[in-house]
Amino acid sequence: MEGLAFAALRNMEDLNPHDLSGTAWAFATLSYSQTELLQAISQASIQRLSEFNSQDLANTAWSFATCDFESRQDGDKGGAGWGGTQNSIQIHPKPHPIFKL
Amino acid sequence: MLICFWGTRDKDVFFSPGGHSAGDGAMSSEVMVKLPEFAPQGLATTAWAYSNSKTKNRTLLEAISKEVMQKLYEIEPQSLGILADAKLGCQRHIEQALRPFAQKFAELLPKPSTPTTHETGWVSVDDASMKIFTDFVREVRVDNFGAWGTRHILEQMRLEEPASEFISRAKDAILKEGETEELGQGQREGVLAGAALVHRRVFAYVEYHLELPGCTPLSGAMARENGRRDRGYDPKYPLIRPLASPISGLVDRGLCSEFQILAKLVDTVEDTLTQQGSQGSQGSQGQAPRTVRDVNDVRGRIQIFVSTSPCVSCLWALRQCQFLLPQVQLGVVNGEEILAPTLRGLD
Repeated sequence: MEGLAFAALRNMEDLNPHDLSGTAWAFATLSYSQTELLQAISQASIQRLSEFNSQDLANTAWSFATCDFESRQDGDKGGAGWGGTQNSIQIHPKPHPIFKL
Repeated sequence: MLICFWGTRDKDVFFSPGGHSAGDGAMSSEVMVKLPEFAPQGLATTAWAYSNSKTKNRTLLEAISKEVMQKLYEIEPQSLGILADAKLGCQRHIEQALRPFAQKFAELLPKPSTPTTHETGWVSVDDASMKIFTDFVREVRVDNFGAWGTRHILEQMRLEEPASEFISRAKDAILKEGETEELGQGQREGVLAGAALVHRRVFAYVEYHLELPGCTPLSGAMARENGRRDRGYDPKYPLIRPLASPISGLVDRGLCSEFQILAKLVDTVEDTLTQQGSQGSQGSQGQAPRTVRDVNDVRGRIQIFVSTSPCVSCLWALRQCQFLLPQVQLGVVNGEEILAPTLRGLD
């Protein structure tokens, strides 16, 4: 998982909205909450937010909520509102998007 | 072009569900713009995501609520179950839409056939009732009704509500069972109370005391985690059976934490009656048939704490326990319902 996260981080600027939401969805589904990756996805997503369709938005919202991640203005790691976790495996079960990517 | 709904929108804040001092999350704004395009499932998922934050973005949640009202009767039951737990402004309408499905599920849960003639002494259900029930589950495509919907079903099933002392013991036991590492406060809550529907780590804890005719009473407690099969218990033919879910049908519901507990308990009753029961000493080859009277005379109490809403298969398992052990009082606590932040209405 760490290797995949590293590869995603390295290629972040090449990812389209579907790729970004799908990457967040995949890691969240596996309860892999890596703050650096989520922060990078959030930053990359901001640049393309208008291109996100409703499914991309729903899946990204679900992924970030599942990972208890809230992006920060100051670039801090992890979120205050939902208590970001650092490289931790989440043990908090969450509802899953019904539709697949 | 993005429209800013609340004045300043900070482009550096992407996902800030509860708002931010320098402006709301960019994604919240985008969700607002595109809400009319959301399919019902996406609407439910998004409502859950935003309602689960400790500080709520009321403006967005209200917009989601209005959109839900626009599409209320297009929303399938599974999504209604998620939405009913999001506690949106239109909660009452969501409950009205979900209630008939939950009600019908409870009504169609099979009842035992009468008179009971099963050779083992255990009651069974007739095939026609079972088919009507499974057809309905398949038709509505629900694998979990969420906390509110499940509460409605449990009430229809007339299950007991265990006392707070039991809940306290259950929490301690589950934290111990789930403690593979040092847990922070948020993680402790996560172990004790998950959110609805498809889950990862789900725990169940049971306390039981059963008086069996002619046998030593069965008394004890145990905790189980979903997905981890008890190596000491792997029955080939359990008396209670799981139900294939219409969603994620390949998931083995026999691995649900509460199912494992219920199956083991009922099979332990069966084994004890076989070995010690009133006819046990008269049977040939050590396998005496139980009588209906033996089974009907099992008395006592079973109390279960489940860290999240039981799936449809586990509701069916609870119903099987009800009619297999008709004199046993069965109580269920849904940890999600009593402990999850969303459902506690935290601001």
